[in-house]
Amino acid sequence: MSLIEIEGLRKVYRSPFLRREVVGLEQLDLSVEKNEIFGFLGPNGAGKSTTLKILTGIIQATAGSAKIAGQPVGTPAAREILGFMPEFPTFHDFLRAEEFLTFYGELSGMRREALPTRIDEVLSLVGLPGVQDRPLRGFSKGMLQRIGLAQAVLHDPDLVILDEPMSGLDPVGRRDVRRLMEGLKAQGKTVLFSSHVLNDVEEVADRITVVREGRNVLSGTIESLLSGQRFELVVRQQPASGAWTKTAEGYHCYCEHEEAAQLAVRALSEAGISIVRCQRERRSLEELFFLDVSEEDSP
Amino acid sequence: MIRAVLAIAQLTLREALRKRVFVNLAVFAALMVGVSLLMTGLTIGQHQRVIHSVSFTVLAVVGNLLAVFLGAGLIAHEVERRTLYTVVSRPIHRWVFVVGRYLGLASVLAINTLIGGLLVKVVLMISNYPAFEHFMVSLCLIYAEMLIVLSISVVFSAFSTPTLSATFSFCFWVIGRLSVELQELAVLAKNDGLAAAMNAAYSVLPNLGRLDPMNLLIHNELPDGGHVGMLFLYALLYIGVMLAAACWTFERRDLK
Repeated sequence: MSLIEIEGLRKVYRSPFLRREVVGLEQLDLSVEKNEIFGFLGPNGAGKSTTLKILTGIIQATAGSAKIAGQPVGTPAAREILGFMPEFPTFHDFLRAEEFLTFYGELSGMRREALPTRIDEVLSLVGLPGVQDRPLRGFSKGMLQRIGLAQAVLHDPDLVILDEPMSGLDPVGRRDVRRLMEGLKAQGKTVLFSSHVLNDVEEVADRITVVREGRNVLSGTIESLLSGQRFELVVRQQPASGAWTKTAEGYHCYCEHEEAAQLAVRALSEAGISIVRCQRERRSLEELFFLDVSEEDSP
Repeated sequence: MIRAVLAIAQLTLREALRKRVFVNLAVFAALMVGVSLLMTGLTIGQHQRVIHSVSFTVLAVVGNLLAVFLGAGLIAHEVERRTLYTVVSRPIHRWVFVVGRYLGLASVLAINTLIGGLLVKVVLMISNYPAFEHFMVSLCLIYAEMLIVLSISVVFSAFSTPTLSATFSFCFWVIGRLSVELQELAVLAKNDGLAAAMNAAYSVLPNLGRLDPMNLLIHNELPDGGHVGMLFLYALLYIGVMLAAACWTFERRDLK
C-alpha cells in the first residue's frame, strides 16, 4: 500500500455570491511510496498547492479520493503521521521560538516533559540553535522558513509535506533544506515537496510528477525521466564522415539510438580513432520541464 | 483533545497579554475616577448609586465591545493571515480550535471584568461608600452578557471577514439589548404575520436586556435564586447553541 494514494482528485473553487467557478484541480492521480522523496512540480496555478492543501485538511476535494496511510484525508487520523509546512508560512509572531514549538508539540499530543529536549534538537537541525527565547516577530524571512520546518518535523512524523520549502532561502539555506530532506529519508521518513527550483528537485528527489492545469503530465523516477534516447559520442580526432562538432574535449556527435551508437563505436575503432566517451545523453530537469511546456503550448 | 483545547486557550490569553488588550482597563480606571469625582459634586444623596450605575454601564460597554471586536477576529484573522494552516494540519478536529479560542477569550474577558470590578470597589472605598449588596451577581450578569456576545461574534467569524463579523455582532448586541421591545411591539402589531415575525425574532435573538444589572441596582433586591439561575442557564444554553453552530460551520469551511 502506498503512503499517499490519490485517485481522480478534483477541486472546484466556488465563489458563493458571484457564482463563479475556478477549477483548481481537474483530475489528479498520484501515489507516493514509503521512504522516498517525492517532488511535485508544475507552473504557477497548476494545482500543486491545492493538492497539498487537500492532503493536509485545509480544503476539501470536490470529487475523487485521497488517502494517507489508508485513512481518508480530512480526518484527524490521516494527519496523525503528518508534518506540514505551507508556502510563505506565517505564524503567531507574538510567541517566542520555544513557546511556538511547545504549542505545536502540544497540538500533536507530544509529552510535555519530552518537549524541551526535542525543541533544542529540531532547532539545531534547522540551523537555528540558541533562538529559544527570541520572539518570532524579529525573525528574518529565512529564519521563519527554518522555524516552519522545525514545527513540521517536531513530532517526528512519518510523512513530511513541504510546500515550496526552498523559497526565500539563500543557497546555504537551500542546501540545508536538501540535507534535511535527505536526513529524513535516511531515518525512513517520506517527504513530499513542491518546488519551482528545478535544480534542487533534480538533486534530491527520487520520483517526481509534473502537473499542469490540474492534471499529471509527467511522472516517474528522476533517472528514467532524465535519461534520453540519444547517445553522446566524444572522440579525440575528427572522423572523416559524420556531423561532428568541435568542443574543448575533442569532437562530439549524437546517435539517435543505442544500435546506431554501437555501429559508430565499431567504425571508429576500426578507423583507429580513440573514443573519449560514449554514453546515454542525460537531460537536466529544467530541459525536460521546458520541453514539456513547449510541447503543451504548441498547437 | 482537552490538552489541545487548553493549548489554544493559553495561546489566546498570551496573545491578549502581549498585544496589550488590557490597556482598556486604564481607560476604565480613568473614567471611573473622573466620574466619581464629578458626580460627588453634582448629585445629592445618590453618589453611591451613580458610581455603581456609571461603572457597571462602562464595564458592560467596554467588555461587550471587546467581545465584539476580539471575537470577530478570533477565527477570521487567523484565516486571513493563514496562521491556521499549520494548526488545522495537526491531528485535531477543527472544533478544538473554535472552543480553545473561545475559552481563551472568555478568560481574557473574565480577567477584564474582575479587575474592572476591583477598580470600582477601590473607587467606592476611596469615596467612603459601601459596595452595592448584589455587586458580585451584577458582575456575573455583565460577564454572562459578554460571553453571549462573544459566542455570536465567533459564529460570524467562522464564515465571514473580521470587518463583517464585527459589524454583524455589534448589530446583534444592540438588537439583543432591545429584544424585549420586540415582544411588546408584537402585542401592539395589528398584522398577525408581523406579530408572528416579531415573536420569532424575539425567540431567536439573545435577550440581553434581562442580564442588565441595572434591574438589580434600581430595585436593590435580588429576585429569587431560581430566577437568577434561569438567567445563567439561558446564557449557557445560548452560548452552547452558538458555539455548536460556529464549530459546524468551521468544520466545513475551505481555508483559502
